[in-house]
Amino acid sequence: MKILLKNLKNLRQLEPRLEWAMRTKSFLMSKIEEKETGNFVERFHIFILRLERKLIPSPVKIIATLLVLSLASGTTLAAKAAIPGNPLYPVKTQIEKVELVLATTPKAEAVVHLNHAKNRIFEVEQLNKKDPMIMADQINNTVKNLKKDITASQNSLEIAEKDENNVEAVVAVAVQLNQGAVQASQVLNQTVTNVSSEEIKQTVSEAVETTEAVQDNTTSLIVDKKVNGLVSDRTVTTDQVKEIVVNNINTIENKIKSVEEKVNQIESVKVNEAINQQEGIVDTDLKKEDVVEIINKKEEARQVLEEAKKLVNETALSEALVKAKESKEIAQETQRVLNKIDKVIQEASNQNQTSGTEIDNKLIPGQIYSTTTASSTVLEVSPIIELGGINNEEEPVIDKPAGSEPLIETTPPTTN
Amino acid sequence: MRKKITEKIVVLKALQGNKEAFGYIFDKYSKKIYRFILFKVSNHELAEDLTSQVFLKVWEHILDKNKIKNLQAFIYQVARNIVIDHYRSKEKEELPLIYEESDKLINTNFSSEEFFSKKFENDTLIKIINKLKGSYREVIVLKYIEELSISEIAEILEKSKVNVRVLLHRALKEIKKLIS
Repeated sequence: MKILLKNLKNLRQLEPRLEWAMRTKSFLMSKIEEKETGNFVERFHIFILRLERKLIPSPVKIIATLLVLSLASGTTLAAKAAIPGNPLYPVKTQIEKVELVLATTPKAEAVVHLNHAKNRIFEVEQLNKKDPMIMADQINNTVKNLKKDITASQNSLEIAEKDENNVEAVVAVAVQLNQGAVQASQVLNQTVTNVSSEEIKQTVSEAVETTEAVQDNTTSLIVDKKVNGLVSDRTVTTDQVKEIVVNNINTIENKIKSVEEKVNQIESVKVNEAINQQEGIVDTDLKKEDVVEIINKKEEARQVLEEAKKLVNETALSEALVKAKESKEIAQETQRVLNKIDKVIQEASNQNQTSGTEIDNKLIPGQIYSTTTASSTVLEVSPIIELGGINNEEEPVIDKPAGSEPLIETTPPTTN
Repeated sequence: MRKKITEKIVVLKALQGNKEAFGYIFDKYSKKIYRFILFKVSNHELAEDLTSQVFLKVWEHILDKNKIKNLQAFIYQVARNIVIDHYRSKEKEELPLIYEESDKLINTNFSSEEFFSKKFENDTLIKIINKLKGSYREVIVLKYIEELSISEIAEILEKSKVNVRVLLHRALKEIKKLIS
């Protein structure tokens, strides 16, 4: 019954047609006549509500404010450089809580959360330099907080976008957040190679997934506003937007590379044997055709991405972004099939071990795939199985079409 | 709490004729209301038409400067009333068009345990929900698809929390019965 209720959530996929939604929205919006901003009482009411929202949960924030005010400025400054494990670190977190209280608009909130995310990135970088075994808990918590801060910044930015009339200011924050997300992804990918704990790897993978989603969202927002002429070059130039799109494409390209590596190592015959062995036993909808399909279509994502690169070069940024998203979706779909393969083979292996039967295939947990790159989170599948016939010492052969290198070596753009 | 205050701000802004606020309301609730209505009328096109009517009503209500205590509950209540009005005007229930095969809905080849352990496909789930009576279907959709809390559902359905819990319990029992 639990499974049924859980699967009910899938019905959220039932959505009205996009075309209907757009048409209806524009019809409804046309019904609204622009009116003068409300009277003083209404505006005052909104002000009070906003203040009330800021002060929740007020006791915690008031205590934090008092705590910080009572501290000497020297201590406060020292605390700002503290990393987890340092005695001054709790002071730093309290200061951050106060900074949030002082942020009075969604845009300001987005900036504060972003600054906190940058603090977390710095902390993770510092923790990476230490012994990961000793600092495991700190790394885990800091990465979780980084994910929280970057998500909060994105959420506040979304509210600001709907709330604020100043598009330029919102886009300026979006550019900073985009840079933050790219930087966070880089640091987290470094972290995942340092740590050995599966739990921390999982935490880091989830954080990478979040930062990539933030990168996608902010890129879409920036491109949309720029292409529609809503922001001037003072906030972000076309070249800077181009760089942002290229960064986005490079992130997707890393994801595709990881998927290609795995697909190249699939031995469809062996996977099919595992599927046969599992038929009717394991709860999976993996079909043999799926395996054949992903092997045949392994280059599709890259081809679409190449089209996106061409469009960037032609400065058709919106179109490039659409292609990049399409490419990412293909890679994600392939990844989903790879995950199913993992599951089936893992189950086959478990059964063999339980029943004690010796099978020719030697479905032993090990590696069906070579080690995955840290850049992917959805892609981060723990190595499952070693199939007979694969020499693990050999470097995986990766089909790499010409021109698959990143378009331009970029550094995150800066705002003026 | 925070969410409620944000919604109050949105409503106040909408009362001032702020377009963005209306856009926010539409973006946030259009899909939810569409699904809510879809499970009542079982027809995609009709669900879209009625959803448009819901938002038109909400717009009119707001533009007439009427106060709204709880935006979410208000929109769902308008949706319920629109569906009721639709059936009244038709004087008879429309046959579900997209799920006409719902009588054959459940694969009786499964034992109860097998059925629960199977990964359900969306179509099967839809068919099961459409077999439920209206009030059960309503609570199942709100609780397990939209994941609203009991108090939110109680506000929407204008029932007590205990009543909602009882309805949910009975609806789940009915689902079990349908499957077995």
